[in-house]
Amino acid sequence: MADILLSEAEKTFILHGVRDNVRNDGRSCSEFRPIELELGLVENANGSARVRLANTDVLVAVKCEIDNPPSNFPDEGKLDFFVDCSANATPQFEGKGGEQLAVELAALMSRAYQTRESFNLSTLSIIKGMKCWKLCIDVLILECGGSLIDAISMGTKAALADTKIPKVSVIGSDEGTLELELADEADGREEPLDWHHAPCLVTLNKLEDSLLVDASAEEEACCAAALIVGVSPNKKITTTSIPGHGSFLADSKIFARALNLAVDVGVKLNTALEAAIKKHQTLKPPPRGFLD
Amino acid sequence: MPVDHRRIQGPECSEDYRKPKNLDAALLKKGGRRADGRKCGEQRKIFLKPGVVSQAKGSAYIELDHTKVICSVFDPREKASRNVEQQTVRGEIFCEFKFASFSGVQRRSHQQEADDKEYSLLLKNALEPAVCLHEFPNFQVDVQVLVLQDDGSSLAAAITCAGLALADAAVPMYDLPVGLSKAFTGDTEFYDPTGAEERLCLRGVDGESDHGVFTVGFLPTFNQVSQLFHSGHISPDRFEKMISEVGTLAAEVHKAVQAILLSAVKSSIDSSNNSKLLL
Repeated sequence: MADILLSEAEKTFILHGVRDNVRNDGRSCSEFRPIELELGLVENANGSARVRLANTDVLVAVKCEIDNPPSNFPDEGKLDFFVDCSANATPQFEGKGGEQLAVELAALMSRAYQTRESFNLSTLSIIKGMKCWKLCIDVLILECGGSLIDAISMGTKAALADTKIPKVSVIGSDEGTLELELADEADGREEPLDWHHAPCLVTLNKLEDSLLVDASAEEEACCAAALIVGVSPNKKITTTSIPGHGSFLADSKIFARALNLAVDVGVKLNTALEAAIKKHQTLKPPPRGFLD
Repeated sequence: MPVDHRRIQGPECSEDYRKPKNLDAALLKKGGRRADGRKCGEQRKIFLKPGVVSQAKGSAYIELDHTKVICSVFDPREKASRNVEQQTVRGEIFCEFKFASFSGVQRRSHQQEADDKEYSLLLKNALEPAVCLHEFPNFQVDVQVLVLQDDGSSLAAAITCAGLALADAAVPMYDLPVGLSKAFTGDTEFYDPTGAEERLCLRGVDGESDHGVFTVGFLPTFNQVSQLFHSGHISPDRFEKMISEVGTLAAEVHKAVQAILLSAVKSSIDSSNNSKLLL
């Protein structure tokens, strides 16, 4: 992420505000900035979503491919994350610059979706032990303005909600070769995924004794440590990570506060996201220009 | 690691001939003890040795039963800074974590795969708060970790091992970082899990909703958690309760690392005194 240079006076100003639960843009410590969500932008993908969280712009596309299931879990499909930090976002991402960040984000997302409770991979199986769906989730970072992982997790959940998997049936096996047939129009071409339990990741930045949700780039520059928590809609934690070079005091009170705040915010985020997705799917807004 | 275009890779569809065994929770706990005879809160016996790689500035080797990890630390070298703005007053640790191709049942690629890269970053985040980065501005210290055999808790072992290797290399540090890991499913908690316990808890047992594995990077002197890496499905109170136990668990490992470092320093002083006598 782009480094912001702040003077001591600016940092002190932010700190004093945060102590009174007021941030530079008037939010409280546990509020998100306005979020914009759009679904179904990418024609060639099975599902897509775009999330704009203040200055952060993320485009997530899901493509389905037919693949062989993993040998130790033959009745499951696969989920593959790939993050691309485009040079559009900041010149630091040019060439291989963004690779480290991309790897970190992709790894975090795969971990958040690792368990059956977050995403049931057995729904992606076509023929046990032989064929399954592989969902390739590609994240493109168009603009980088803080809270990247939050935006990516929201975009992924929305893109999965938008994804329709073609219905496939097996017809005849001709001496060992199997043929798969796509369902025709009459039966309903596609079916949606079970995305409702997917987690949303929330980044908490620690500034003195306060915990900031959705920190802006200036606030991140002041904070000593951060904690990323993946929260599923049923109030469970799917993943945690401490990015960067900060550390937390192993005092259970700060962790208790952080985890409870993260779960609180995470559940509200999940609910709001579901409502927005439902609204988008029922109203079907008219197509507008890309990046409008 | 640079990409290798010359070595011929085996065909992509080739697999190990052994079918991986799927795990049974009942087998892992017989009569209150785990498969290897430990109690749920018991750590495996640790073997730690510093100074194993003669060509490295500092190195260490750790063995936790069947998990074997070796770490080398090299002299600080100048960072190739891409532009002037990136020059800072802090140095950097460059961590490279790699599972050896023969470390698990399935053969791994000789180049870094996705989880090697992820663990490299996690290891770096765990070690950074412990190192006095301001002591070597614009320089980077290379930490190379190789897992020779993986039987669970390899990241935790790597954190402890890298901490000892950094100390052996005389890199200025605030504290000796210690790695711990715990796997849990339902009401059962396995401290310092083996590979089978880790895989079971990541997958979860049918009917038990809470499960997962977490690894903690801990700085015992300052009581700081430098890394908290978790994957699974757990309620926040349960999680918070487990974190509060980390301090006591880390003390044991920390004492072992300190004792070994002390004896290594003493023996090197003794040997240098002896060599003077021979003259």
